[in-house]
Amino acid sequence: MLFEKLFSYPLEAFATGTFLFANVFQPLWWLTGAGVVVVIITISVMAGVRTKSLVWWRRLTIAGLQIAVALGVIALLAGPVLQTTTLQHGANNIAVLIDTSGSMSFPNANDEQTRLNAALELLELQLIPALSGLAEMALFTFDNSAVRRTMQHGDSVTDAFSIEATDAETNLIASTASVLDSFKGAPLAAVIVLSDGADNGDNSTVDMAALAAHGVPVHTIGFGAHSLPGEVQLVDVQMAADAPPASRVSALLVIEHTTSGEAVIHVRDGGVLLAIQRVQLSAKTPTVRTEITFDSGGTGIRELSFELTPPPGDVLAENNQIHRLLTVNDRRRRFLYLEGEPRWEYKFIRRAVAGDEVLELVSWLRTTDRKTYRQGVSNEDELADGFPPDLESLYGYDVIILGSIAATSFTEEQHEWLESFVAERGGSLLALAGREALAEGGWDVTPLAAALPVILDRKTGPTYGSANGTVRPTRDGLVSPLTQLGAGEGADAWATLPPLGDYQRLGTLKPAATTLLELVRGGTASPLLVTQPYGLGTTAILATATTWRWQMRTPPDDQRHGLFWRQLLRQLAETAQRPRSVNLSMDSGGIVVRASVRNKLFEPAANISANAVITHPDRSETHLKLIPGDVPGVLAVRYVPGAPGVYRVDVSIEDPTGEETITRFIRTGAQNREYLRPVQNESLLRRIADVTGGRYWSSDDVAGITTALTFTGSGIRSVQLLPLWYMPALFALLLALKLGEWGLRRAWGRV
Amino acid sequence: MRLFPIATLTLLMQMVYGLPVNAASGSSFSGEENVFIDLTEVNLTRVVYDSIGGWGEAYYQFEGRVWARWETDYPQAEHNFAKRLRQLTRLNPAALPARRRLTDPDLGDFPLIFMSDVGYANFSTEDADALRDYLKNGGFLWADDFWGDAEWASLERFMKVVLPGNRWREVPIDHPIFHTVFEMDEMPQIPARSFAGRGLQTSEPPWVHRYPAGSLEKATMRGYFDDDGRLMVIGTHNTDVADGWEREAYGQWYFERFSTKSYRLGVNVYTYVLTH
Repeated sequence: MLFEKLFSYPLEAFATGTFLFANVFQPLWWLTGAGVVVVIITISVMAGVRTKSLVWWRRLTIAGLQIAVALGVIALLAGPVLQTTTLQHGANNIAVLIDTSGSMSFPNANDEQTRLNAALELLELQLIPALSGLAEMALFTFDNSAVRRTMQHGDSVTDAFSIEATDAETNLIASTASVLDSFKGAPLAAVIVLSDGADNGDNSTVDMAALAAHGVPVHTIGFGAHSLPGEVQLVDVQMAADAPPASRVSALLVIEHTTSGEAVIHVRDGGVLLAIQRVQLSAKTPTVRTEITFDSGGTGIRELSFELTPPPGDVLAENNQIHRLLTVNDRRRRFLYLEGEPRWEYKFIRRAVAGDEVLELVSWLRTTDRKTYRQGVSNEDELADGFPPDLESLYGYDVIILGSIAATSFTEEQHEWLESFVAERGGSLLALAGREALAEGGWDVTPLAAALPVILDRKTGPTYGSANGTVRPTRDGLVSPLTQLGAGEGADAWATLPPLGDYQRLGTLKPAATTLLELVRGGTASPLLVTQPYGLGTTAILATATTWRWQMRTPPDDQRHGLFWRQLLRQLAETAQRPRSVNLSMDSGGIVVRASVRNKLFEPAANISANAVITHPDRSETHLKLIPGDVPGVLAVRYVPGAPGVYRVDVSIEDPTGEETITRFIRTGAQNREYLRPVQNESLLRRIADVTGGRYWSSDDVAGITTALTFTGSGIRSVQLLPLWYMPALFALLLALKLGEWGLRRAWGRV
Repeated sequence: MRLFPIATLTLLMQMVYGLPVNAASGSSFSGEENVFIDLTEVNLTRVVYDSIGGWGEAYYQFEGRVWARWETDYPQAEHNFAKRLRQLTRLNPAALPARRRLTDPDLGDFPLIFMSDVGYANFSTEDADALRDYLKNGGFLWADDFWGDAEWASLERFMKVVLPGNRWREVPIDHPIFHTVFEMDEMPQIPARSFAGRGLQTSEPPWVHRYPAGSLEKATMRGYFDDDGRLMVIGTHNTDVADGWEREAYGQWYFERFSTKSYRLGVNVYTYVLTH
């Protein structure tokens, strides 16, 4: 306001306007200007006489002040104006969007009123009176989409709209964009959004760019507190959507809080408690990530509930629970274990997976130089020649385990097959340590060396030998599904395992390699379990062959050895590609059902078809046919779900080799995301305003919004020349200059 | 090897040599000293145990030295067997054998333990508890060189304490343990070299064994099976497999007739245990 008093016009006028002199082309101005110059010269000469006895720099100062005053007067005579555009009254629309999502029912900052009521009050008492003469107001409410509201003359906003903040989702950006779209061709001066900024739609940069492309300023008015002391919320749960039966499943939980104390996490499947874990919250770390593991159980779908019990003082209980679906499928995974010598690791790996519902371990062991021993084969012919006879047979396995077996045990062609097993088939390969393993076995010069996560090196001497060290998970290992030992025990479960008795020194890790476990000897850690993606598959190296000690040197009820191996092998199998797979995802258009079909050589299959049966939460069914797209071997269809809930999707895939039905589940719309991060998202509101040329306003102070709308924005506008000669600031400046000169003269004794 | 069980001489020998009645062996007797255990190798491991009785029972004299029952054939049998394993198979056995008591805390480092001449063995409750845990973890016990009914009963009593819910069952010749590497069509009876003759008789005389010996004619392998059908204990009864290893150089006819069978069975058993 002070600015406007001094400069006659608001800041927006100066920010958007162009400075001009209106009189410079008029003869009268030239005559007047010449007169002023004569007067100034005369005064200056006289002043010069009076100031002759002053030192040169004092004279220069006095002269400078006088010239400044003279120039100021000349400028005033030139008729300074500000050329700007202003909104043409009554010719434009202003769209006002009111957020009616669930989060607007939360208390507004520092008062008992809800955010929605505060917004309606602001609209009724301030915005409507201020804007009614400026433009035609179009009112909208929005949650996951915008709806236009009409109001009869004399209605109050609340009565007219009957608004309640109950919706479970907010799509602020998309709603604003849809309102902007609806005004295409109509003059729209600006959009005003009244919201807490809790957008839980997709805030992609594409959406922001689309908003900016309209060229209409969006002014945002923020409601809600900026922080909620004592609030604890479960923000996210990250976990795999599928798991084998009776395996350990790991989930990463993200907790945000503004307090300290102990929180407790429960994982439930329906009413059955699967896991419980305590988490210490510290005020120093407002975001906590913690990992919790639990058993997947038998086959079927698990409707998991992750529940957070916060310390006392939590503000909102509604954001302490997240639901996830876990599909437990019983497809058996086939493992091929190639071992070059009878040794204890072989025995105990076999025992660890014996009787497992999922793992089918087929092993081929060289017992003597001329004899082999096969176990787990499905028929007499399997591995009869020691190695799968063709690529198709090899690709029938999901995972290959290479034990202590020299590279010379295989032909050149078989080496190429092993590499393509990972790269092209998308299988997983695990290499174990041993006296004839890795570099010791000459694998550094095979095609498989390119796939392994380390650069094998045998130039620096023997790599395999006796050792005594304990195992420690890395940060990656603590959360990796490959290395889970038990519920909530984390690193402790590893620290209490018996030391390993051997180690194979690995070469340099490749850039894509991830170390999950380390062997610690005398304070020095060496990579023990390393993995990396390669082609479509995964490779891993376990640089030991004495994990059997974890079985033999622990009490009989200690299950960690078996857990380790089952978990590692199952997860390696999970990452292996399957000939037929179905993937469900959600986007703004609904559920996308995508089926990928490959032949036995894992090339995109031809002559395929797929049909989906979608079972709704109310048990009704929809039948759909999947359609081929641009990608060979992939069929897809999109389905718009109705009521929120769990949808079962059975996809029957038919290819030249047969038919298979794959079942997947997806949950839609069940999670009320309005309660996540219940504080005002000022940064998003500011970002929307910034990219569109609007401005963020606090709900406490919107007094300047009318002016801002007048001088900025789009719509039908008129050019205005605003005279500046009577600007109080200019007169004050001239007066200040003359007073300054007078003061200096007094001080220097020349008045 | 054993001499006649002259129980009456026990007291005299104790007076002369000052030897204990319950010979605990370990450092009291000669044999392989403990060696560094390299877990990258398959360690052949002899069980050290106490025996009841005195001279001729818990211990005896042979070839100029005194033997505790546990160290019968030790360590030469293991030396020879390790060499043959390396020669015949792709196993990587340690050159020197280990020896452990059942109650040693690192018993788990030896997933196959071998005990010999167990007819006079005197196991404690602690031994039983330790062996129970060891077997439940996946360990394997091979008891060899015990002959006749009384010696069998001794081991049977102990195993009833170790695994009360289980029982001995004869291992048939078509069981994989007889076929992992070498095809065997019978359970071989290997007599100690000193009792081996060139005739058809292969059993040892009953009077050198614990009374009442009963019949010693038929060699059998009996076993304890776990819940998954895997063998976890075997007793090679009425046979002395380890003597076939130990005495392979004591005459070509003995080697060809008995040691070869001992090695074939030994290789098969070790391979079975390393794969099941």
